[in-house]
Amino acid sequence: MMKRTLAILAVCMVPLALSGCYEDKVLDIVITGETSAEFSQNETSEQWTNPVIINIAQEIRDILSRNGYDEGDLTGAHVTSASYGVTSFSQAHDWEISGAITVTYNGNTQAILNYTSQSVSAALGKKTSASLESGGVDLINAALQDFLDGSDPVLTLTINNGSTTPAPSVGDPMIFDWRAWLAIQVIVSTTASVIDPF
Amino acid sequence: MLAPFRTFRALMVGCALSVCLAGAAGAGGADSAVKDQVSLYTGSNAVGYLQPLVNAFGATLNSSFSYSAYIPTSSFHVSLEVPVMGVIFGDKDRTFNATTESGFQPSTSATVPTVVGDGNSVTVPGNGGAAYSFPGGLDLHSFGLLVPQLRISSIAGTEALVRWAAYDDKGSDFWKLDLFGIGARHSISQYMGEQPLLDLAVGALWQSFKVGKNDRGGDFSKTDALLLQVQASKRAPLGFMTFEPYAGLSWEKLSTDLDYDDTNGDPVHLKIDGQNDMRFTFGAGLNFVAGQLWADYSLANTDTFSFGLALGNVGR
Repeated sequence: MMKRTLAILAVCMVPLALSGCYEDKVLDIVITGETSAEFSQNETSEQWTNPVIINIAQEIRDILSRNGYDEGDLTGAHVTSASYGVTSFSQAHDWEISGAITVTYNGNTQAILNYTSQSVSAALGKKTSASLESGGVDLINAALQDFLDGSDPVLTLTINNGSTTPAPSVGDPMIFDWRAWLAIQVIVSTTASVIDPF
Repeated sequence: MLAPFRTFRALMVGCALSVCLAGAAGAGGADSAVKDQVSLYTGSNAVGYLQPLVNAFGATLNSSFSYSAYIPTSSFHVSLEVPVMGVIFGDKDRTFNATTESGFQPSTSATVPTVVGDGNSVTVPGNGGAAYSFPGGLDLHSFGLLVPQLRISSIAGTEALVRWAAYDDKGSDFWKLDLFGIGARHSISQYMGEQPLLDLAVGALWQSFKVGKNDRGGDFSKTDALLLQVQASKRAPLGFMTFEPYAGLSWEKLSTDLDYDDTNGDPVHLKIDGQNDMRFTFGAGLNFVAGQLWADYSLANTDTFSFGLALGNVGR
């Protein structure tokens, strides 16, 4: 009889005790996503510009979707870092370039990063972190805030190259592909049911 | 024979229900939340974030191996046991020192929540108005583990213990449990004369515990634990029962391998060692012919308590 009583207690009490231990916890999940812009250069002059359009709203939706969340879960988003690197370069001699990558949003244009005397061959296959410029960061953060407020912001990233050494020409064009990465963190608020038993 | 069979079957159902409930809790979001949070981190940040949970996991997993040093020289005993093992998290478990990742400039360290810490994220400023956020934790105050185990004795003063639990939610992209443990203890007091002052036993327990699935279908977490123990106890009559205080000294080792993808989809493999090495356990049990109740506390890097019920012919 005692065995049976204890068995019933074990069967009933253990699961009940555990089920009483469930607690809903609200926590911030941070997801770091990257968006990138690819630039192909075939230049015959020192100075050139090359714009690429980024649909930042869709990029964030993709980041959320890859991680199983949607816009309704989003509580914040901000720029974390930017970097650049050369993805393809096979010319006989190197080039040194100086300039800026700018961002344009709602008619405003600001530099997001500067590059100075950057060797093209030295950047090949690398991802070089850049020091961010506050004007460009503010503009992207404004776009992110507009997305949080329900808009569909679109950014334009533009390379504004100021100088190239040696100077390229029709007989010696500068040819390479490179990429700029923008790391964005999105914060989602989620509720998790966890066992907090004691 | 029918009654004991029913008893064991009922206990098996109870244990299975408990495991299923744990699975249901996982499906409620804690599992994927942990995976998402860890995905942000690599290297030392991931270790710091998860260390309190790994410590608690190891400390509890290595608990309730034995509640009596008395092992008969030769007779048949079997018991199905339901130990509950727990850890209460302290303030030191709730935060760790993390460093920014993802090329954030300048590299900045901050005190941020661990997996058991506060649920709010922590954000630090960087160059040019950039910012870096560290994720929040699950705001856990405690951690508990309930593991069914079967104890069989004895041949030449030796007993065996098996722990096993398995659960696989095919509908979940994460939730899966697979625990197997096997241990043995040997009576030393059988060599100490007819009436030894104390019962004394040595034992070893090895366990493997796999939890979760990663995005590639492999194990999210695989833990191996080893415990070596010396234990002493003394039985004293108490009405129709016996009262049995016990104490033990153990060496333990635990290693957890984590395999997951970071937020960029790149695979990350981490190995985290539990910080417990030596533990001193003291407790007491009540033996009542058809079973035993016990409770104990272990002093270690991560303190643990455990209590449980054994049902079987352990009255010996």
